[in-house]
Amino acid sequence: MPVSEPYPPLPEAPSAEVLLSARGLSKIYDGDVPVQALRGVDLDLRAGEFVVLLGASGSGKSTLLNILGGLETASSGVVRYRDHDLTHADDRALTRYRRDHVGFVFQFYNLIASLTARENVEVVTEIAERPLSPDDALRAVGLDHRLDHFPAQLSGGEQQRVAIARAIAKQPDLLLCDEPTGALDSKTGILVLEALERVNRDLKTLTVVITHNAVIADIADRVLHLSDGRIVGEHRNPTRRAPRDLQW
Amino acid sequence: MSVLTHKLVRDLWRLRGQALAIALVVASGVTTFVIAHSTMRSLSLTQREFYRDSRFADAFASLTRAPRALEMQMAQIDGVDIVETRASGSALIDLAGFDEPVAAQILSLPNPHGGLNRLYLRAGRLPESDREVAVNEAFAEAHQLRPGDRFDLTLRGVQRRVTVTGIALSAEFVYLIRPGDIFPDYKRYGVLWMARKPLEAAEGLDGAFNDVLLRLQPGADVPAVINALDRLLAPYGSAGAIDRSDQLSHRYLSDEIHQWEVQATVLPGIFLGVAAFLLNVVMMRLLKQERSQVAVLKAFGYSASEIAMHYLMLAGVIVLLGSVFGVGVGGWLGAGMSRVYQEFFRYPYLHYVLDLDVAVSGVLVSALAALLGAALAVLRAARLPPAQGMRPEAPPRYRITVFETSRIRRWLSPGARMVVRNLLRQPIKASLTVLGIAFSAAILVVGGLMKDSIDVLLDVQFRQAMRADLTLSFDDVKHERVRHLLAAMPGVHRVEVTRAVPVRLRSGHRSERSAIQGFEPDARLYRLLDSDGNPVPIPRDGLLLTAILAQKLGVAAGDTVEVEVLTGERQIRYVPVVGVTHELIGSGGYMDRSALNRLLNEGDVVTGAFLGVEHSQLPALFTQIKRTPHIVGLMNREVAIRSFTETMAGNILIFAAVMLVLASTIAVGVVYNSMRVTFSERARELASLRVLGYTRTETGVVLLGEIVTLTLIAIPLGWAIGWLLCSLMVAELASDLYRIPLVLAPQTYAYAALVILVTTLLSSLLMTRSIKRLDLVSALKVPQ
Ligand SMILES: Nc1ncnc2c1ncn2[C@@H]1O[C@H](COP(=O)(O)OP(=O)(O)OP(=O)(O)O)[C@@H](O)[C@H]1O
Ligand SMILES: [Mg+2]
Repeated sequence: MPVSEPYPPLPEAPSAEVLLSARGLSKIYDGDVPVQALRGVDLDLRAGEFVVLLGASGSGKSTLLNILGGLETASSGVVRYRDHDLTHADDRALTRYRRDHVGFVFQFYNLIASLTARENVEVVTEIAERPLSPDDALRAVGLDHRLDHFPAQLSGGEQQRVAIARAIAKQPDLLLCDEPTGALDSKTGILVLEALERVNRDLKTLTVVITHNAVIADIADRVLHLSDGRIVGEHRNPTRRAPRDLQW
Repeated sequence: MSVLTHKLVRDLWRLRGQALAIALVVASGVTTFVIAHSTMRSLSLTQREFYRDSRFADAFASLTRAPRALEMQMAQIDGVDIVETRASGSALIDLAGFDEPVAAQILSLPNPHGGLNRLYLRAGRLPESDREVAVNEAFAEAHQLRPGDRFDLTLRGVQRRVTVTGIALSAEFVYLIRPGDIFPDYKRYGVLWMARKPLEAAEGLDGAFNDVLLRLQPGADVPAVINALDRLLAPYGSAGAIDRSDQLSHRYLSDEIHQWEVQATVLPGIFLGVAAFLLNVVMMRLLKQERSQVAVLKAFGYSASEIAMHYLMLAGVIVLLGSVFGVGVGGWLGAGMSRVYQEFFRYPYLHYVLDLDVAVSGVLVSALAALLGAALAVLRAARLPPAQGMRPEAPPRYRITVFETSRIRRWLSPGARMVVRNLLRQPIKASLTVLGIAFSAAILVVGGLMKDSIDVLLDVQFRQAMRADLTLSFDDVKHERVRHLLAAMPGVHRVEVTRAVPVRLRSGHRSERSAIQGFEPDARLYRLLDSDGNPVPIPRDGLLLTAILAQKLGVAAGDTVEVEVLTGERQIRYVPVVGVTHELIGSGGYMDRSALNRLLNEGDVVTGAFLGVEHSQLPALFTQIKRTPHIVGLMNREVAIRSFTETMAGNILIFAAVMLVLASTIAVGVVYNSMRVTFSERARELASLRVLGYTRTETGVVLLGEIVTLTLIAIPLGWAIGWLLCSLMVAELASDLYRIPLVLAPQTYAYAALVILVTTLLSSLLMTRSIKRLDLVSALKVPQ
């Protein structure tokens, strides 16, 4: 098996621009028993970075990602995207933010069943400002041969790659992935990670990936550990491993 | 409470919007069912009671004059039980403070011992002397007459002042309308009763009679009795006997009851059909969502029938609530309706009955509809093996539809493609949704029929056909010279005389009682119309027939009909039919007057006249007419139009409002439910769109696209169904009394479309709340 060339680590800050910064981020879910999902998170994410978020179930990973992506708002603290304040944004502004800057990938692919692979991507390219062509986006995830298939005719891995193609087709500034390989076997999971990795490398898209699988952390520039709503650890990989070298 | 009961309550609460919409559709169905059945029952029950109490006759005959000795002979006819003779005449009434002449029919009182058509006295007492009369209640109300009031009465040209002794009702005049009118006019047409002796004297009938009532034995051969009676009375100028089915009031009443029979099936049928469909859609959706829960329950040992019961209960509760509410509203509206009926059908009492069995069958019929709707969905779920149920359902299969050529596809946005493919994946559901909305539009179109057709009816009848300002009839045949007399009256600028004669027309084995009217060749004040509303000239020879009469006789232009003249010597003639005419009110045969005079072997005689009058001179003319003997009937065109429109305006408004409520219920029910179901089926996709950066509005368009598309298809279909229903109704209601023209104004179609669109808009607004509350994160968190 040929050993792949390791990618050089990103130079240390401050050479890359800070895209997203969070300070003192807290989130409390109100209810009969209020749940504090985040307890004061401070975080800077830079352009082009590949970040992996690790943590036990319930530690607040999804909550953090959703706040960063403008799906939810924090209870207190500040999130800024470049010079936009997301903390106090209303629904209209958040929609705008998601539309122009964010790509999402979820554990369950959430494709639209009545649209073909290409059309699922078109859903995004229609409203984006400088989109890739749907065919190019699908080629980027290695799916240029399944353009006219409906989700029900695709395997789970293929569906997830369509979801990635859909997320990157707008050429987002950040790509947020919540357990993108959670529902896939290792072989298919690696295909998906390769697609993410290629996008990050070629398009210089800030990519954040949540996973339970510590092995995956090896492909990141930076790894964050969450526990009980706090960032409790952070390390940088000296080299990023290629996804195809992973095993689990 | 068992767990399943808890679940039932929570499900109902969660589905409350949809449950309410369906319950309202069910309620509308049951309401119409209850109104129709209870009104029909009340009308016919009261009819039966009143007929029995007042000993309403079975057969009727009018003649010129016959000796009372004939009574014995009539009593001997096979099948005759009781014979009652009486005096009858036409009268003109002059009321202080009311300029216009008022026409009335005057009858002698029924025999106090065992007589027929007995009066129901509302107030006062029966008249005794020649200066006393009883008046019918509607007329008394119209003029606020009370016992003790007086007015001038002209009988056979002799005027006398009479006192009202009593206010009465009669089974003979439950529906009181002057023959030839389209609507009751209680102010200008009444019925009077006088003691027999004085009326005989006034009518020149001492020891004689000119009107017969018969009660028949049960099981009597009615046509045979009528025949025998006709043979017996022919020498005395009888215009032919009739049985109850030809009696004017009875006919209107029977027609009305028959109409309710039709209503009692059609409207509830539509509503309950729609309700069944809605329940089906909602249950299907619910069971799809709860597929795995059903499987788990089964795995735990619940039986299929327990589970089926649980879901059927859900449908049952919705339907029960709706139908109980419907019975309540139906009973309330039905009672209100019966009060409206009191105005038109003059019963001394109207027993409004909401029988238990009507209420119960309303509930049962809707329960049946619910069962039909829900059963299919429930059975499928109950039969599903648990292991299979816990696996996710196979993903829906979509296809690129045949409509989507590459050109069209490029043109359709992804949202539009979602809409098209979702619709085509469930064509039956989509078609039923279209049908439901279409019926709602159709009901609105039907609601407009009355207004539109009555506008045309008025126009055709009173501006195209009947153009005389005043129509007079005489108490007997007069010489044509009478025209000069009339022409000399104040304000009269045109006189056209006319001759009318009662006849029986025959062709083959068919025969119809009717009348032939003779017109002047250059008649302008009364015109016959063809099917396009153009005037038909009076032919020199031969007979024109109203289309409905020609149809009943099975004849067309070119055929010959046998004419039996029902007055005088009952001559029989054969006359060629030269054409058919299409007036909307009344029916009969029409000829050139001279030709008719020749046919009847009579001189230049007439029985009535049409007048063109200077309006400013009307009061003077009325005064003159009231003083002129022999004028017994008078119709004032302007007044007829006015009283007609005034009375109808209110009714049309009520009718249209009821139709609006009913139609909106269906529209809201179907549209709102479709949206809710679409929303729950597509929540995940809609959330995806929102995550991808689609705005609420853009997401809403995808959600609403389906229902809006269906609505747009449904509207023209609804127009067509509405037109069809109207043409069925028009055909069903056509009689020789009047024909409702099938006209629907463009505004009616526009209005139907507008209501449907507004309903869709309102339902959409309700949905925007759901889109707003759509929780993006949780919608996407669960597996597909
Ligand atoms: N909508 C909500 N309402 C109430 N509590 C919530 C809600 N969403 C998340 N939580 C709670 O917030 C905490 C953090 O949840 P979060 O989904 O961020 O965890 P996670 O780290 O993504 O876990 P997992 O790895 O299982 O996905 C948990 O305790 C969870 O129960
Ligand atoms: Mg999570």
